[in-house]
Amino acid sequence: MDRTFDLQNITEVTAQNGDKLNGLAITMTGMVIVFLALVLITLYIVILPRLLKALALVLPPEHPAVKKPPRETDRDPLIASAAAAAWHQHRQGGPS
Amino acid sequence: MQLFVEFYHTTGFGQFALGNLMMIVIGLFFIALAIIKDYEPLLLLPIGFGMIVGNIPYIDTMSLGVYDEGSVLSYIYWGVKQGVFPPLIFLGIGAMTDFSTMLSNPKLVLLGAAAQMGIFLTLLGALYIGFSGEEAAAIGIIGGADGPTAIFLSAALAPHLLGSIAIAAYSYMALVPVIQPPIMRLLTTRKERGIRMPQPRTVSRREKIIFPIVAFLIAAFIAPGSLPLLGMLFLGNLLKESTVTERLANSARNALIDIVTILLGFSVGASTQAGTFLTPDSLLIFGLGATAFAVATASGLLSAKFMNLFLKQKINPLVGAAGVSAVPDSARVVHMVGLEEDPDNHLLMHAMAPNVAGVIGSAIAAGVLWSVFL
Repeated sequence: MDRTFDLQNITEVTAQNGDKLNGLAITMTGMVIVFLALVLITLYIVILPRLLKALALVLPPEHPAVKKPPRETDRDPLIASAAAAAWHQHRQGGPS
Repeated sequence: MQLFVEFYHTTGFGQFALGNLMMIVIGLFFIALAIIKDYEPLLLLPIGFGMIVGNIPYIDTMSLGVYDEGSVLSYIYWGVKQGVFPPLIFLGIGAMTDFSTMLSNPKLVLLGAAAQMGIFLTLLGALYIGFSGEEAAAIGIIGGADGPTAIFLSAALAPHLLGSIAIAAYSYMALVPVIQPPIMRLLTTRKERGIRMPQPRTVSRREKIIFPIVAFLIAAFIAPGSLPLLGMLFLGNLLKESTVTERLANSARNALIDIVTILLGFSVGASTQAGTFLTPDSLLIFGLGATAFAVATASGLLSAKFMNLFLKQKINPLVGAAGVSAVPDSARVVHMVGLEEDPDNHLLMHAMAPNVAGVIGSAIAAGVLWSVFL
């Protein structure tokens, strides 16, 4: 497709739906919207700790997430050595 | 003998063209980059192999390629064409992402917004060259340095350019360690690169849980077009941070994202058949993509320097370069360039804030452009 390098292409954009648009307006609007959304998210992050402090009166106290410890049997050295001995015997062709 | 000659014409050798050879060489180059240089191997390897697969010629009556209706590859490519894969990848990214540094230093979010200038300035460049509005928007999003977002938007607005845009976006993402450092050094002084930033504060679990819900509401109400991407991103993050859905979070950040990455990379690679890919437009897209990436990096850096004019606690301007959202590569590059100046200055955690903000910013930009041209 032949391309025509022209500044007019920026100011006169015809969308496939027939809308007449201006590239500069799209750029300005787009940047403003991206900044607006991220500024709002920033403001929300700033007030979040204060909000949580206020809500602490209503919300139950926060406990750190506790991960379940692995079952004791997984770490039992006796069971581990028994399993190792059985495996060794099996490899040696002994009784299983 | 006649049968043999006829058979020969049905083989790849019989129909091989110079374009196919060029694309296969590019595919091999991608594979070499992935294996030898370790540049984005998870993406470049499936893409590179897909390029080789897509450029083995076959007779027209065989339904084999991604563009042939009913072929196996066309079913895989369907996920790309219909924009199914990008939100699934965002789900996995969300389940991997820790927003703690962003929550502990919210002003760094603005750097993620500033870096999106690359998208919109490239849109103007593409319009100037003569691309249609929809095509220019899809090309501009390469500046977001976010492969899934680039695929998502080009599938919606300019599906005929999808292959070129996806390859350009992923190539530049892989080349972050090559493209960004010279721009960083050019636009910052040694003193600026040596600025130390305080350790981020500890963020409570409750903050981490509430953040994805409210951030999604803000972003989706402002730019509903970003809903599929940001919805999945924040869902993935909530799965992780809630700690009650560890199994789902694990699946999202491991098995699911891996499967989708393979399918997406392979089918995007296979879509680069020489006949459709080797066009002057593809070259222009690669040129514009490089510009978009450089402008995005520079915008982030310069915005950080601008913010420093008003801040008591200065920001290391290098972290601005991470606003381009190639997660986590650009943050890693910031860290490495920072270490060159001061081996004790660890910027990785700080750079992750604009990095993840950039992911949100580029998805919002994609949503805005989609709604403008819909």
